[in-house]
Amino acid sequence: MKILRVLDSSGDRVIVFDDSEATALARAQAQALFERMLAGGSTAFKVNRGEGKSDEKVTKFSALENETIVVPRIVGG
Amino acid sequence: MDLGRLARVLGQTWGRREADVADEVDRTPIPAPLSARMAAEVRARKLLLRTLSPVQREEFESRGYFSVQVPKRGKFWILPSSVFNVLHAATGTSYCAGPRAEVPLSDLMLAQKLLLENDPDAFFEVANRRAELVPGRIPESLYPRRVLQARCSSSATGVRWSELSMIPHRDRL
Repeated sequence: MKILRVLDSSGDRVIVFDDSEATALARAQAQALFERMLAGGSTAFKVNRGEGKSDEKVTKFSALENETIVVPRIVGG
Repeated sequence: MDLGRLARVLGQTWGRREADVADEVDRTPIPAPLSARMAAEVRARKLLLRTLSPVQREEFESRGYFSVQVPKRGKFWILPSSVFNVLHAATGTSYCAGPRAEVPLSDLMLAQKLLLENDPDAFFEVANRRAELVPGRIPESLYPRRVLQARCSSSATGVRWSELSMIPHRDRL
């Protein structure tokens, strides 16, 4: 299973999906959200990757691993 | 609080047992926005703790802040504050940038960690900065605590945070 988390006012919005037919709808929702967020200036990171791998920025939906966090567009405070 | 309101509050509680007043407070529902914000912070904190490295998690749990190593820029601390909470160890400069969308404090700290470690140019491109400390005046390891203490004391005396860097520390006057 893959988890897409988008940080928001509730903590984070989560979509869980995998490559199976059973989660096709969730996968399509995740892809649409991922691509819309990145087009709007958000940044996504692969996290908690296991085997000692460090977090990594990701820009392609096909490259997502177990868990991805999408950080909404940042601005100076 | 105006005197009329103070009198009404005293009138409602005067002479009543403390336990009765406490019961009434317990029964008073927390406004939804506040409880929702608290739930969001709890959720965000769990995600932050799960995403921090073991060293960062230990720092955060024991001190309330943690450090990150930024490629080509060195060590920064991420402090539990919503403004100017990214502190550069080498220069004492603090930076302020975060998600445009409203997020809990722990999500802000998580977003800053991910950006600083993996996409620092995106962070520094938009971050505002200001001089927070004069390097070398105190040991580097004390910088985060000094900044947090200064903010606590300045908010108690009504000083704006934006004025912090211009005010000599009390024992330096």
